[in-house]
Amino acid sequence: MPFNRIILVDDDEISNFLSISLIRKIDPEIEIIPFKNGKEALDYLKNEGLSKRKSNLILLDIRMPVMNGFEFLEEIRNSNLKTKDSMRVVMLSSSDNPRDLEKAKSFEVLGYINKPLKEESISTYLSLTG
Amino acid sequence: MEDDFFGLLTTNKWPPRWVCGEWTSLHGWFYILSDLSIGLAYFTIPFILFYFIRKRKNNLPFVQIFWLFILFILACGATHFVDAALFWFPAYHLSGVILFITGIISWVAVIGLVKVLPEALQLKTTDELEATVLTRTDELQESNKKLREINSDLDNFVYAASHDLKSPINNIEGLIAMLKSTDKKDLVDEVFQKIEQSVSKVRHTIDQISSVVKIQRTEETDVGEVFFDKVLAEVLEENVNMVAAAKPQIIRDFAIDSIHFSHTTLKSIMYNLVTNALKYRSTERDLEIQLRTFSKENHTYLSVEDNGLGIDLNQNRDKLFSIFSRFHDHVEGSGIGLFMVKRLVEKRGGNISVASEENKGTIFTVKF
Repeated sequence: MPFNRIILVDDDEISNFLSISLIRKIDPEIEIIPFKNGKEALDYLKNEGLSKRKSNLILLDIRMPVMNGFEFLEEIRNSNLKTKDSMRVVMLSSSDNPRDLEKAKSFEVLGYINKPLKEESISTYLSLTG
Repeated sequence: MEDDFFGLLTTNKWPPRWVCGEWTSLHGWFYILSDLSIGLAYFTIPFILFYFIRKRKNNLPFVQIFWLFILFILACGATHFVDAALFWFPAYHLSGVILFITGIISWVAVIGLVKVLPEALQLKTTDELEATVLTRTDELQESNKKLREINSDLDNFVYAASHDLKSPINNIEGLIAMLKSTDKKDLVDEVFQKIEQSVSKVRHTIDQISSVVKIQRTEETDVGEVFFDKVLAEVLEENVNMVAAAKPQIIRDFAIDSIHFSHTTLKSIMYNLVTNALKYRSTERDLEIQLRTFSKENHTYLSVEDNGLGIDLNQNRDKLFSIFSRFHDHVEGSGIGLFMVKRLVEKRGGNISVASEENKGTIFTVKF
């Protein structure tokens, strides 16, 4: 079940700065790749050869330009990228709107973190690291 | 009996009708029974009318005419009963008086009818009423749909606004937590800078929200003849830096050169469409913006076409005009412009449509 890198998908640079510093503080070694929106992350994952495919913990924002978090999840669901272990998603959003929570649930995400990211909220997911 | 009731009941001055002339039994009874039958029918009709009036309560037009009819028919019925009675009781005075009263009531009925006739002609038939109801229902449904749209717009607005306010505030919260746990001078400086950035983001979002609220509220006081060319010149002048950076070739084709409209509103519309074309230009080719006005089916149209980045409309058509939606992330944008344009245009009964192809360009067409 372990994953070996974090894919961070968020258009908010300051939020990314905070998330990355926090994760680094807990685990200085882990690989973190940030993307500005769902499309960039999707393209990256798609272009990555099958051989190199890693298992990912995806920290996913909801509201982003070009392709938002839910559209990204939809694309993943409809693509051949989806395997249970390689695509574990934790939502990371400012929104505590019930319709977003519901929608996230319908995609069977691993968790839903309200920003700002805090050590206690991310560490449980990081302990899945292998 | 001479003077009873002015001689109303006097019967001795004439022979009963049976013995006046030569009646056969058959002809006599034929006459009498016909009279009685008419009288009876005439006395029955008022009961039906009365029942009808009672049942319809206040819901009957021209109720006085109905009462007049009841009187009229009763009187007519009475004349026939008296006429039948004359075969035995030749009370011709009484008969004359009843005929006289009937005559008066009949004329009152005639006058009453003539009076209400114009109004009665205005009464709608059931079909007409149904048609009216259908039209009204359609209108209601239409306005209901509009209200639902406004409601969902408002919903999106609140959702988006609260998100865009929360994000920087969450960031500030995270940044402050970071400040508390570090004493590295470089990091402290960087964090302070990011806090400032976040604060100005909050301020910017609040400005945006109040500008949206403002366009919803403002009454347009500057409606008059507005020239497209002049408004375009103002827009370009206000964005002189952006224009200098984009170096667009601007093609003007204002076949309709002016419109009766609010100057500020037209300027906001053109401002947003033109600056969008400037912002979302392609780096691969020189920017060309084409502005056209034309007339179709009594409406004035304005189209703004560019050869910029374009938008994938298959995925984004619904979101394009909603507030705080953004489709490109490399350029500064607030996701508010097209929302405002749509609002402004629709507020004045027009609409806006879009056609676009990724990496080819976009054309927005405003129907006034």
